[in-house]
Amino acid sequence: MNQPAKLAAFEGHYPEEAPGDLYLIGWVNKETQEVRGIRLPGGLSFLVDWNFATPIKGLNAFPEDERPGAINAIFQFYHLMVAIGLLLIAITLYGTMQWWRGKIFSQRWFLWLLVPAVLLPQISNQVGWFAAEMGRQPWVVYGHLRTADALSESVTASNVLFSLIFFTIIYAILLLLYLYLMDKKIRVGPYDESEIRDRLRLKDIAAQFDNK
Amino acid sequence: MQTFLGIDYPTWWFLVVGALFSGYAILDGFDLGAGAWHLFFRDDKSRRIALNAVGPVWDGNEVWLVIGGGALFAGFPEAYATLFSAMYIPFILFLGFLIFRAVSIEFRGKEPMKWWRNLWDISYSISSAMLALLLGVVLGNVLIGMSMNENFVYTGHWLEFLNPYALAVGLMSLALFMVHGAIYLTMKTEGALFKKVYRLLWRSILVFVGMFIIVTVISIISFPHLTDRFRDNPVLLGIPLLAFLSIANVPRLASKGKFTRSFVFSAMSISFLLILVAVELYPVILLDRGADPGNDLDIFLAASSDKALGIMLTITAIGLPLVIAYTVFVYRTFWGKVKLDESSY
Repeated sequence: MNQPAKLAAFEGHYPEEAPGDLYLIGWVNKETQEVRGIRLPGGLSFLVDWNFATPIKGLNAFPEDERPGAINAIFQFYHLMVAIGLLLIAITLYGTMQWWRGKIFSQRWFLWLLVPAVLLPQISNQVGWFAAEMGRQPWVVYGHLRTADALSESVTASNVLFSLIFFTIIYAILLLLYLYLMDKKIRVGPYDESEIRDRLRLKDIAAQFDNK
Repeated sequence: MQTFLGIDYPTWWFLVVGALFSGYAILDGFDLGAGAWHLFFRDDKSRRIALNAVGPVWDGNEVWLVIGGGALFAGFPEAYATLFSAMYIPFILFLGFLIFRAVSIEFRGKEPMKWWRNLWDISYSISSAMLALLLGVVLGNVLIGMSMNENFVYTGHWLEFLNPYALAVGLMSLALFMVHGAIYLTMKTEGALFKKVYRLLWRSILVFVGMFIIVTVISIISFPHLTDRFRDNPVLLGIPLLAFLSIANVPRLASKGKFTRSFVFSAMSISFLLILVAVELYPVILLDRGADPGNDLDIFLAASSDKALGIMLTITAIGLPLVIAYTVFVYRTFWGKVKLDESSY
C-alpha cells in the first residue's frame, strides 16, 4: 500500500488535486502553504505517472489529523537524502573518469574530498529514515494504526527513557571505538599498488580454496 | 479451524516455534557456554583457541533467536506483544549484552596490548554469561506466569521479572549452557587446554545437577500448576525420564572420551527440558497469575489467521530442510580441533 500523504509532504505539495512540482532545494511555509525554491514544474507528477500534468493528491486532501505535521522538516530531510545521493553519483563518476585517465592520484583536492565523503552515505541513510518515519505520522501502520494507539500500555515512560539512554551510551562508545580503529587503519595506509593487484586475483583465491 | 494430519494450525505453529527455540538453545547454547568459560582460560593463546572454536558459527547461531522471535511475532502476535512488553527491561539488557558480545569478539584481536585484550575478554565472558542467565530468567517467568488483564496487557511491576524462581531457572540455564559449551570445547581443543576444559566440564555438571534439583523442588512445592499435568497423565512422566537419562549420559560418555556423542546427548537434554516446558504450558503460552487469574493467553487466542499460519507452515516446510542442510554443511566444514592462522580472531 502506498502512502500519498507522505509523498505530498516530501515535496510540500498542498493543493487537493493539482500537478505536483519537483524541488531541487526549497523551503516550505506552513502558514501560506507555499514552497520557495528551485523547482521543476510538474516534476512530481512526472515521477508518479510519466506525465507532467497528472494531478497529485496534496496534503489538503487529507483531514488535519491524518497527515504529518512537520512538513518543512520532512521536506528538508528528504531533499538532503536525494541531494547526497546525487552528489555521491557525481563524485563516483568523476573519480572513475579520472582513474580511467590515470590522473586520480595526482588530484589531491579530489582525494581530500573523498575523506569526508565517507560520512555522506551514513548521513543520507539517517535523514532518509527520518523522512520516511516522520512522513508516515500520525500513523505507525499507514491508514490502519495510529502511533498514539500503538504504545505498549505496560511499558512505562521511565523504562523507555532508560533504554534510550542505554543505547545512546552504547552507540557513543561504539562510535569512539570505530573512529579510533578506523583512524589507525587509515594511518597504516593502503597496500602498494602491485600488492593490491595481487590481492584482487580472484582466480588465486579460488585456487586456495580448492587446495584446502 | 483448519487442520493438517488431524492437528490444528496453531498447534503446528506452537511446535514450529518450540523447535526454533530448541534449535537456538542448542546452537547458541554452546557458544554462550564457551564464552562464559572464557575467563577461566589464563593465557592469550588458550583464549584465542576458545574464541576461534566458536568463531565460524557463533553469529549464525544467534540468527536462530531472530527466527524464533519472528516466528512468535508472525504466528502468535498477541503473545509476542504481551511477552515483550512485560519483559521489556530484560530484553533491552539482553540486546545490550548481544551487542557487547559481538563487538568483543570482533575487536579483541585488533590491538596487541594486554589491557585491550583483557578488557574485551572480560566483556565477552560477562556478556555471554548474562545472556544465558537472562534467557533462563525469561523462561522462568513464562513458567510461573505473569499478571495480565482481560486484554492480555501486562499489569505487573517492571521489576517483577527478578523473582527467586526465575533467577534459579536463570542459573540453571547458565550451568546447562556451560556444560554444553565445555563439551563443545573438548571436541575443539588439545593438550593442556583440553585437560583444563575436561576438569571444568565435571564441575559444571555438578553445579547443573544441583540447580536442576533446586528448580524441580521449588516447582513441585510452590508452583503446582507446573506438575499437575504429569499427575493427571503419568505417561507424560516419560519426558522428564528421557531428560534425566540424556543428562546422565553426558558425563558417562565424556568419561569414556566419546565427546561427540556426549555433545549429542547434552543437546538432547536441552531439547527434552524445553519439551517438558511445552508440555507443562500447552495450549497456554502465557499464564495469568494476577490477583484475579483466568486471563491465560492460549495459542488459539494468540494465533494469527489460519490463512497466515497456513502460508507460514508451507514456507517452513520448504525452508527447514534447507536450513538443516546448510547447518550440517557448515559444521562439517569446521569440524575438528582449532588451528590458529592469520585469518583467526
